[in-house]
Amino acid sequence: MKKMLKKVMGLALAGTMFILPLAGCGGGEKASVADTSTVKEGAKQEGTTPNKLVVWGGVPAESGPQKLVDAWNVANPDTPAEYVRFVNDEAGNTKLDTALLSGEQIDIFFTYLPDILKKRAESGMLEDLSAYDASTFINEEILGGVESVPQIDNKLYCMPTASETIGILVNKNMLDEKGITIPENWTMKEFMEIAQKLTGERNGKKVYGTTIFYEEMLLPVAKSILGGDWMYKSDTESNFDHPVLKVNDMLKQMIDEGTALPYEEVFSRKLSAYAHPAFLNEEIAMMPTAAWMLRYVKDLENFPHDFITTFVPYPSIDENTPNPYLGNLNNWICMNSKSQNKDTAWDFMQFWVQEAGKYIEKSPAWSKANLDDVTAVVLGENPEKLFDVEAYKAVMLNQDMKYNLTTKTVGLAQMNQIYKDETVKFLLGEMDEEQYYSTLKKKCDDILANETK
Amino acid sequence: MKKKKYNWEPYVFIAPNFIGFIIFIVLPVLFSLVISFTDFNIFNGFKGTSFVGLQNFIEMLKDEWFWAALKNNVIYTVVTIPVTMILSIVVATILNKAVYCKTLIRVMIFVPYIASVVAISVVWSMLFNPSQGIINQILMVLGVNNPPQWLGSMQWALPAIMIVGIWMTLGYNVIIYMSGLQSIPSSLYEAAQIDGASKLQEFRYITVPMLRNTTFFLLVTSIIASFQVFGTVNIMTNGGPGNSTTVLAHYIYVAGFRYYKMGYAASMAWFLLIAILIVTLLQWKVQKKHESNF
Repeated sequence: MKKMLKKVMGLALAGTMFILPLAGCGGGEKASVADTSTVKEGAKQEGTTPNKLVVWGGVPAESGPQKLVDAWNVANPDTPAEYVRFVNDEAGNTKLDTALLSGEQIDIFFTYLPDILKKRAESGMLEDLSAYDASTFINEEILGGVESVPQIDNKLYCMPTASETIGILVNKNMLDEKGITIPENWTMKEFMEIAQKLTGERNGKKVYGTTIFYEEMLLPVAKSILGGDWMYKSDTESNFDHPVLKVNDMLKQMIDEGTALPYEEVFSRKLSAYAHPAFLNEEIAMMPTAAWMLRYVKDLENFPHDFITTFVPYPSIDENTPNPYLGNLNNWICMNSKSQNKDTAWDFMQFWVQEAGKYIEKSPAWSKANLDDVTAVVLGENPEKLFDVEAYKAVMLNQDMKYNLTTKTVGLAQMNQIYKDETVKFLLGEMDEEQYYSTLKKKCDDILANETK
Repeated sequence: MKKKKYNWEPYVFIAPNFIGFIIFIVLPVLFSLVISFTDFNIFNGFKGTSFVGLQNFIEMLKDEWFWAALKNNVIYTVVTIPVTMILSIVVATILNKAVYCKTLIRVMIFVPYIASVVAISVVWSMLFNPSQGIINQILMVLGVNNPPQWLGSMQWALPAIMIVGIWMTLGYNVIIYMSGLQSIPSSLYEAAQIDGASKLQEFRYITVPMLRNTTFFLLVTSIIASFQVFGTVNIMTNGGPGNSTTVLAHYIYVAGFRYYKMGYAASMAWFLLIAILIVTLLQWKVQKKHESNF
C-alpha cells in the first residue's frame, strides 16, 4: 500500500514537473496550445456549442449589452454569443491583451482608446475588415462614414458603435431663477460672464458657476476647434504654441475669479474626470459632459435632485472661430484575428452597430437610428421630469457636427501626462502663462523627437 | 557498503510551494531582467522585440519623471521612517507599562496595518477634503484660517500621503517593539532603580540599547517597504498634483501599463531593486560594526 502511494505520488510529481515548465514558457506557442485546450474543455463542461461567439466589452452587462446579446441569441440559436465584461482601465485592458495573446477564445472585443487601437492593430491582434467590405457598410450605416473611423496604415480594423457627443449640462432652474438665456453659438467670453452670474449663495450653500475640468483635463475647447490631433502640429512637432491654446488662460481666470470650482476641491474630491456628484448636488451650475454620463442624472437613488437639466454646446473662443468637433465615434468593435468564427463574428458586429441604440444607454453610431427611440432609451421614462428633452435632441443628437478623429498616437499618452502635469502647475500658480506654454511645447517636442527617432 | 538511500519524500512536500515560487517569483524576476534590456511591450510579444542594450537605463537618467519619483521616494523614506520608529518605541514603552485597556488599544493601533489599503486611502481622502473634511474643519475650529489644501496642493500632498503611511505602519512596529520589550530582563531595570536612575534614564540607557536588534530589523524592513509605497499614492493622488507625489513604484506602473513601455518599466524596477539592495547591505555593515563594539 505504502509502495503504491509512493508510486502515485512520484508519478504526480513527475507529471507536474513536466507540465509546469511548459506553462512557464510564457508567450510562446506552447503556452497558447495549452490554453486553448483548457478553454475547449471548459466549453464542453458548460455544454455550449463550438460555434459560440465570445465578446469582451467594457460596458457592464446589465447596462444593455446583455439584452443585446440575448436578442442575438434568440435570432441566432446556432451561433450564440456570450458577453464578458472587462473594466476599461489600464489593468482591464492589460487583462484583455494577455487573454488575446495567450489564445483564449475571444472572437470580438471592444477598444476605447486610439493609441491602444493602434498598438493592437500593429501587433496583429485585429482582423483587417476590408475582406468583409467594411467600408461600404460603414459608409452606408455609420454617421460620418469611413472618415470618422480610425484607420491604421489605410486599413479598417474596427467599427464605432457609439456616438459620444460632448456638451455642457446646465441646471435649468438656476438659469431661470436668474433669468439667464444662453445664446446660440456662444463664446468663451459669454461662458465666463454666465458662470459669474451663476456663482453665489443659494439656499445657504455656495454655488460655483461651473467646473472647467473634463476627463482629467481642462475643458477641451481647443480640441473642439482643432479636432482630434489638436496636440500635433506635425508628426514631429507639438502644437502648444497655437493661438487657440490661449483659451486656457481664460479658464484659469475663471478659477482665479472664483466662478469655477477650485482645483484643490476638484482634485481632492476626484471630480477632475467627471464632476456629476457636484453638479447633481447643486454645487455647480454647469458641467461638461458626454452623452453616456446621463445615466447619473437618471440615478435618483444615488444622486437625488429635483431640478431640470438642460444642454448647451461648447463655447468657442470667439464668434469668428467655428468649433465643429463636438464629439467622437467610439466604442470600437474589433474582431480577433485568431477567431475561428470570423464570418459569424462579422454578422454579429453589424448586428451590434444596428441594434445597440435599442438596448444600450448611449447614442449609437448607426446613422439610421430613430432619434426618438434613442432619446427614449437614453433619457428613460418620463424624461421631462429631469431633462429639457428638446435641448437634448438639439445638442446631444446634433447631426451636423464633425467627429474628432485621433490619427496621430506617437507619444500621445506621455503628452497627455505632460499636459495634465504642467496645467496643474499653471493653475496652482507655480508657473506663469509664458512658462506654461513654452514648457508644454518643449517637453512635448522632446517626447516626439525621442519617440520618432 | 550499503548505498545510502536517497530520501526524496521531503521534496515532494515542498515541491508545490517551491514550484509556485519558481513560476510566480523567480521566472518573472528573471524575465524582467531580460526585458529591461529590450523594448518589449505586451502587444508586440517576442517577435516584435529588439535588444536595445543599456538604452533604457540611459533614458532613465534623462527622464524628469523618474528623478521626481526618486526624490519623492527619498523624502518619503527619510521622513516616515524616523517618525514611525520614534513614535512606535514610545507608544510600545507606554503600552508595555500599566495602561488601562491594554489589549484593546493594542488592537486599535494594529488594525490599520491589516486593513485594506484601498479602504484606508478612500477614508483618508475624505478626511483630507479641503472644505468638508474633518481635519480641516478641526483646524479651522482651532483657529487656523487657511488650513492646508492637502491632496490638492503641490506642497501638502506628499506630507498627507506620509501621514497615512506612518499611521498605517505604526501598529506593526509597536507590536514588534513590544515583543522586544518583553525580552529585556527585568533585573536590569531593578538594578537601575537601586542605583537611583530616573525613568528617562532607564529608557535611554536600558530600553533603547536593548532594543537595538529589533530596531535594526524594523529599520531594514521599513526602508524596503517605504521604497515600495504604491497603494496610497495610486488611489489618493495618482501621482499628482503635477508630479508632486509620484514615487518609483507608481511610475514603474505608469510606464508599464499606461505608456506600454514595459522594457523601460522593468529597467526602473531593477534600479529600485539594486538601490534597496545597496541600502540594506550598508545597513548590515553598520550593524555588524556596532555589534563588534558592543
